[in-house]
Amino acid sequence: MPSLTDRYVFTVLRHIPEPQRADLDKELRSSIADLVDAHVGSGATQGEAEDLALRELGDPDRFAAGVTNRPQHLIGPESFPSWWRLLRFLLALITPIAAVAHALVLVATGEVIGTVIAGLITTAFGVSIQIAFWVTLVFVILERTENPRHPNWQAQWTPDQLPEYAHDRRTAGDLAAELVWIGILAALLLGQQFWSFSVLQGERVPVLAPAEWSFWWPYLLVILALDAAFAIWVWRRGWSWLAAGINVLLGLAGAIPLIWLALEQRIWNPEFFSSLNWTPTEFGTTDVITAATVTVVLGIFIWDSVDGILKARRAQTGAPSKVSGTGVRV
Amino acid sequence: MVLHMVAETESSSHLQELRRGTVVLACLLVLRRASYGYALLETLTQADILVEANTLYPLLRRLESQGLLLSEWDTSESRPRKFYRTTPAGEELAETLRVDWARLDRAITQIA
Repeated sequence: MPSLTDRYVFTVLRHIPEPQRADLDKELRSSIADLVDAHVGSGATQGEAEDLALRELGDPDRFAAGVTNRPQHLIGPESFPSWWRLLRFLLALITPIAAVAHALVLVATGEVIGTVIAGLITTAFGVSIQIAFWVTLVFVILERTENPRHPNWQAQWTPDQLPEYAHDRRTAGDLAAELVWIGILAALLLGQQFWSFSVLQGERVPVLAPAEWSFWWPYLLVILALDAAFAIWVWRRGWSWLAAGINVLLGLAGAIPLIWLALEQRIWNPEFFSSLNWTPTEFGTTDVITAATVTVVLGIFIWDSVDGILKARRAQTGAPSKVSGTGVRV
Repeated sequence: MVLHMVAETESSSHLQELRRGTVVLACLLVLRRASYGYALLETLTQADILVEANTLYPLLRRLESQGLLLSEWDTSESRPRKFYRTTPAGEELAETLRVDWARLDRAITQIA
C-alpha cells in the first residue's frame, strides 16, 4: 500500500509536465525525508512527523501550480477589464436583437401574446448564457497561451476612448433629435390618411381607422404638440422630479387611449389589410396585431418613463450623465 | 472580537504582500554558495527571513527554469539531494533587487 508520501508525490506529479516528473519526484521525496527527520529529531513519532511534513508542503495542487507557474485564476487582473468590457458590449448588443427577432418570428407565426413574451424571456436568457460562456472561454484560453505580462492581444487604452459627460442641461443636438422624432410621428399620423402607399380601385386606403378622426387622431396630434413643448421646456430648465412626473403623465395620456383603441380593434383600418390581400378575420390574426400593438405601445411608454426618472435622479444628485454614442468601444 | 479578527487577517495579507519579493532576493544571495532545499529553509529561518516550505520549494524550481539558479544532484551521501547555486544572471538580478531595496528603505525612512 502506498504511503502518505507516495500519495502526496503522485498527486503533485499528476499536474507536472512529463519531462520534469522524474526529477521532481526525486527532489520531493528527499525534501519530505529532510522535513520528516527534522520533526523526528524534535520528538515526533515517524507517523506524526510524516503528517506534519506534508502539512508544511500544503495542498499538492497548489504546490504543482507553484512549480509550473500556472495561473490559479480563470481571468486575471491583466485581462479582467477587457473581458468585462467585451462581455457587457456583446450582452447589450446581441441579447436584445436576438430576443426581439425571435419574438417577431413568434408574432408572425400567429402565437398568442403569452407565448411571445415567454419566447422573448427564454431567448434573452439563453443567448446571455451562451455569450457569457463563450467570451469567458476565449479569455481563459488567451490567459493561458500568452504571457500575461505582455498582453499584446489586449486593446491598448488611450484617454480619447473616454466617454463624454454633460450635466443636466441637454445639448442642442438632443433637443433637435427629439423634435425631429416628434415631427416624424405627426407626419406619419397625417400621411397615412392622405398619402397611404396602398391604393384600392384608384383610391388611397388609410392605414389607421378613418373613423377616429372624429376625436382620437386629433387628440394624439395635440399630445405630440405637448410633447414638443415639454421637450423644449426640459431643454431649458433641465430634468427634475417634476419633469419626470410630467413625462410619465404625457406618456400615459398617449398610451392609455392607444391601448384602449387597440383592445377595441379600433386603431387599424380593416380595409387597409384587405387591400394588401390579408384576411384579418382569419382566426387569430387580429389577436396577433392587437398583441403586437399593445406590446409596442407599452414598451415605448415604460422605456420613456424610466428614462425620464433616471435623468431626474442624475440631475438631483448632480452626477453628470454620459453623452450617448460617445466612448463606445470594446 | 470579529472586527479585531478581520483587522488581523488584513494586516497579515499586507505583510505577505510586502515579503513576497524579499524571499527571491534572500534565496539568490544565500545560494551564491550551493545548498539544497531543507538546508536553505533552515538558513533563512535562522536569518529571520520568514518563508514556508510550500513557498520555497516551488520557488527554487521556478528560479531554476528562469535561469537564475543552476541545479546539480549530489549522490555522494545516502540521501540524494538537489543542490542549487545562483547563476551570473541570478547574481545580476540580486544586485538590482538589492539596490532597489536600499532605495526603498531610504525612501520609507525619509517619509516616515
